[in-house]
Amino acid sequence: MLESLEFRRVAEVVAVETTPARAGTYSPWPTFLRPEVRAAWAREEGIERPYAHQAEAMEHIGHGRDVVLATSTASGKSLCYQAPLLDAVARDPAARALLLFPTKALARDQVEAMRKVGGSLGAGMGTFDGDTPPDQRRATRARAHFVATNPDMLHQSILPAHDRFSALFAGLRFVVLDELHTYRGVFGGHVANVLRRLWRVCARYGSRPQIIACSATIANPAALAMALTGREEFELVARDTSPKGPRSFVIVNPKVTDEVTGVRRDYLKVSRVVTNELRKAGAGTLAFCRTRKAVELLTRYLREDEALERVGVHTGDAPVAGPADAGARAAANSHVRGYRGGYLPDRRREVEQALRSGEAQVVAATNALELGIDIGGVDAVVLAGYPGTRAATWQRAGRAGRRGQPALNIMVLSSRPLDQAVAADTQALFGRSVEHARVDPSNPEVLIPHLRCAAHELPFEVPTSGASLPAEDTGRGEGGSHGWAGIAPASLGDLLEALGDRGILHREVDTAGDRARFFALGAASPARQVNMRGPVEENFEVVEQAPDRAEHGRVLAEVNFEDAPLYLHPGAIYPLEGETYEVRRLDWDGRKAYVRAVDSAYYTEAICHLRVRILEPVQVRGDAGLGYAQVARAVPGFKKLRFRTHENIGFGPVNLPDLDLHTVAAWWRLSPRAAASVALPERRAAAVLGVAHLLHHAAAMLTMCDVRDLGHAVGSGGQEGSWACVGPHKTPALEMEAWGHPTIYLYDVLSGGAGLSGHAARNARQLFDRARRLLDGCRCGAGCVTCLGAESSHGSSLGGHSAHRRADVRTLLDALEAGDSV
Amino acid sequence: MSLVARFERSRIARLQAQDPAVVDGVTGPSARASFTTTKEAWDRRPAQLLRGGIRGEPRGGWGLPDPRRLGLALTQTLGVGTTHDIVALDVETTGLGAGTVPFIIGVLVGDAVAKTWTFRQWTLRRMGGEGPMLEDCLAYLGGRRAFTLLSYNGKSFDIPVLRGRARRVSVDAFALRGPHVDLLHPARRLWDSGRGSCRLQRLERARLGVVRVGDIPGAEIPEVFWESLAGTDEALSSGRLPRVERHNAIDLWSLVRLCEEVVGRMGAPAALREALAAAHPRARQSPARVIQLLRPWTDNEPGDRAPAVGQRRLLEVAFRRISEAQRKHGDDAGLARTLEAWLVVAPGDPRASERLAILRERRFGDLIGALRVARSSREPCGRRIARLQRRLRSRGLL
Repeated sequence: MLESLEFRRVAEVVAVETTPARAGTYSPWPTFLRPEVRAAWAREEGIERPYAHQAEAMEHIGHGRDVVLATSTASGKSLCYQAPLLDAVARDPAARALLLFPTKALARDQVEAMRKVGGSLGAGMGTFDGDTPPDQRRATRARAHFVATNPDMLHQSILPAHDRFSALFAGLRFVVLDELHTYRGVFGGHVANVLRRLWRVCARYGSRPQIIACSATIANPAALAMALTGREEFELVARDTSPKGPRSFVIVNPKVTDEVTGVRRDYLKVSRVVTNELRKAGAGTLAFCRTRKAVELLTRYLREDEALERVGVHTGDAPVAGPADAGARAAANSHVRGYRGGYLPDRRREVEQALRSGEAQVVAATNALELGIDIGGVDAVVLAGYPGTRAATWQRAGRAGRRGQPALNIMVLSSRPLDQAVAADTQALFGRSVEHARVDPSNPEVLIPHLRCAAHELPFEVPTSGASLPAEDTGRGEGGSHGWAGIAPASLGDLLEALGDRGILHREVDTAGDRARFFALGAASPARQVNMRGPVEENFEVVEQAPDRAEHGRVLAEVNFEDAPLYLHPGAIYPLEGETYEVRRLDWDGRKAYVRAVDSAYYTEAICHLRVRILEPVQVRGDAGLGYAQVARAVPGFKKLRFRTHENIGFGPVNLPDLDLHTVAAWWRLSPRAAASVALPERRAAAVLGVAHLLHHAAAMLTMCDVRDLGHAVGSGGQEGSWACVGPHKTPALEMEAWGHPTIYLYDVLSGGAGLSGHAARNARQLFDRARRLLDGCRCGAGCVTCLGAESSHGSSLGGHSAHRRADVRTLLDALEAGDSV
Repeated sequence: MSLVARFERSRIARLQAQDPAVVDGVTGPSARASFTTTKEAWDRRPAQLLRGGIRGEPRGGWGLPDPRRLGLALTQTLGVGTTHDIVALDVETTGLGAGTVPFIIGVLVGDAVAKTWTFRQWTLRRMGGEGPMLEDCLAYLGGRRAFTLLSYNGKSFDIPVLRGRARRVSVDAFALRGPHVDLLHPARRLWDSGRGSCRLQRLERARLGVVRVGDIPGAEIPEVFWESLAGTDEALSSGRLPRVERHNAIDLWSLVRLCEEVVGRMGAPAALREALAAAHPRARQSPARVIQLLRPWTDNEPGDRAPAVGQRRLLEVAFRRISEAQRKHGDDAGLARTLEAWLVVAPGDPRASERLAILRERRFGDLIGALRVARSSREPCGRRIARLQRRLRSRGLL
């Protein structure tokens, strides 16, 4: 396929990494499993013996140990918990298990899979989430042995009403945490605290569930499981013994079209060519795109190509003159599908089903299809653009390969600096271990709200002085119903007293005077006010208008509140699985966009300006400080881009309110004296951008959050209240800001602040130390995309001084730290 | 850095310092009792309390009915309770959702043997007192001989709340099992014509002629408790908490009086709606009693003029109930008469037509009559008509 003319015209192969086939290693079923459970697997799934790693995991579970599984995609992680769970219910009908999935779709998928195997064993199972109707909720609450839900639902609905779930909590034997690696950063911190609340409630009902965690490949699965659950002993099962077919991973770079400027062909068009070749070869293919827009474009192009091919027209870059035959189009539409967030659940299920049955051969998807939804296997995975991390790359690539068949991965790099850095050093991708996932459950911005929720569920009780707690309440690592996993009783007592003093908790001393109890007052649970994934605004619905047709008033899709100005401004073309709709009217308050099906020759792209400024300094230390900040996103207009050629054919204004986010930001200003340490302005500008990137990543490590929980910006003003440009999206604008005596900002992406930039700023010494270590730890010679970021290495005006960049960055780091008089 | 130090520097601590009213609370040791409780014969202080809270004279006086008689009437008219003691129960809470705290529990206990009413009320004085209060209250109820629980909307609210809270504090709620009359439902059947609400206070005004004075609005009740946690004991006795206690006592009194009214109406209905309420399946009356309750209304219906729409709907229900009772009884002749009368009031009614056609065809062998009524139905059943025609043809009757 790589030899095809079409392919060689547009792209070149950068690297090919092949992994030979590996035979699976099998073990007998663990002896503790009852025969009927083993028989169910043989009957329903044709599994006579488990893989060795599955047997190992089940042995650990059988011995009552907490287990974390970190094997590759499609290595049979679900069986490792499903079999022991079914066995436990077969032994004791009162046994219960709680299964936590990061999304509702996954929970639904897993329940269906378990029902297939467990239905005959008398185990009841059900989902309990926002999509579950009330009567089904009652049934799940009363009768289901396995309750599948998500952390948000556990936090908002189940734990606050724990008395209604007493049967579940009293019998709780297992807690399954699937897709553990998604619980990182600030969201992971919330999940960790929800789990601590769960342990308290369980202790109250007399249970101590065993934990089974499943994770994709990350660098630290056991450490993440410990940090999330607060338990200290996990058995790690990471040796993958499932059979794997031979795998080829091909990295492809679009060809350079202009030798002088180094401009390359559009990566999406190359992805189209690559995917088309796979489609022609009859390979089931998943094409992962980085953005929703890319999914829509790719779906449309692939459908057009196939439709034309069916009627015998050769395709190329040129726009298509007329529509293909209707029958051919319909066939192509069912053959090539799109899949992304925003599609209605029904449509997503339909695409999943089409992929499983083989009706759909090619699916273009965002990371929405990355998690473990069962789609069977595909032959090839195309990555349109580098996903950004090695962990995500392997996770997506692992979707290819069905039961021992050869698997092909093709990654088409874009011209982004990060992608090109991968092209320059492909061994960094294949050779290095995957990224760490970090979480900080003790971040007060996260911890305190959950302590309030916990106190509302069950009051905390601590001895006042000298008195000690009853033994049964302090044992076994989780602190019983009066403790908090991972925090020593004494520190928890001090913190509760401090919260009591501030009136955040209500403190009472019992009549004997030896115990203090802490309550959260109020009839409604504080959980209502704590949103684990940031503030929730109502979604926009995309409503079709077709006055004379049955489709009139049909809801086509949903769009997040934050994305509405980008995709639903009047005049926007809203693409949906290759079809195009024009937005006629946007009802901002009613949260509806009215669209009409059009046959558009172009698509639209909103122009987006993201800026940040300090509204009110809280703490100023020399040339550095911390303050309340405003992040503003304006959408002044949009571009019209022609399909296929992507040429700009017009412009339109957008008149929508700016979106404001109020948060906390730390800043470091480059004083004239510090600026003098790197005298050449363009070298200094490049170094400033590198420092901003370094501080951002060092702060993420220091605060144990996800890189995406923080943002960085560079501003030239330096005055309080002046705007700074947020990186890394608008590199040229950022470069402009970096000249002169710029200020570097580091802000929390979460509305209201998540305590991250504040924590980093207060521990500036550690922050700068980490930044230096990051710089020194990188194996590159002069500073690369990984250590200094994309902006700093951008191939434009700042690029000519790469030899000095690393030294310059170091100098500036020292100068900035000197200006931060802690 | 210690947790407390991190907290002190956090945004949450800053917000709290700026606006201490975000959450109000009291700190420091408190020697206040966990809860208070009263136990008094109804005709002493509670009755005085009642007189202070109601303007004028209630219809039927201030007194409470004989508990033994009331218990018997309950058994007869609503088919619940094999006991004769009655415990009316009402709970004041801090809201509706999960985590609602019941902070006043009032019971009015009618002793069938001693023929007395005893009033008991528990008031929560601090958060930590919830367990002891529930324990004391449920032990009191659990220690009594069997009783019928009487409440207003208690099946959906008061009892689940008490059960859930008892589970949270590990107190056994066994005392709350046993027969339970939730008066809301029979009251709705009797008096809810779709206009106005069926709230207790509206009914007591309409049925007992009671107007409360100085009563605390229901919406204010939750905040009274939060307020009471912060205040001193002196402030409590002069604050709004006693008003909530009085509100709770009046609720109990009117609950028992309304119960008397409900069973009275159901025992001797004065209108078709009341007779229907008394004959409702939930009242578990015997088929004979259902017929006895409803026949006077259907028999008296003059056939020569059409009844009003509302009245016709009620009549249709009455005919349906009677016909069901007669079918259970196996009274075919009576059933046929009822269905015929039903079809006079509601010509072509599909249910009546169908049942009458079946009855004539199968029981009486009257194929012509069956065909006539089957044809006259508003939703004729093609298969039945065809079958009847076939049978008639085969006998040469068509």
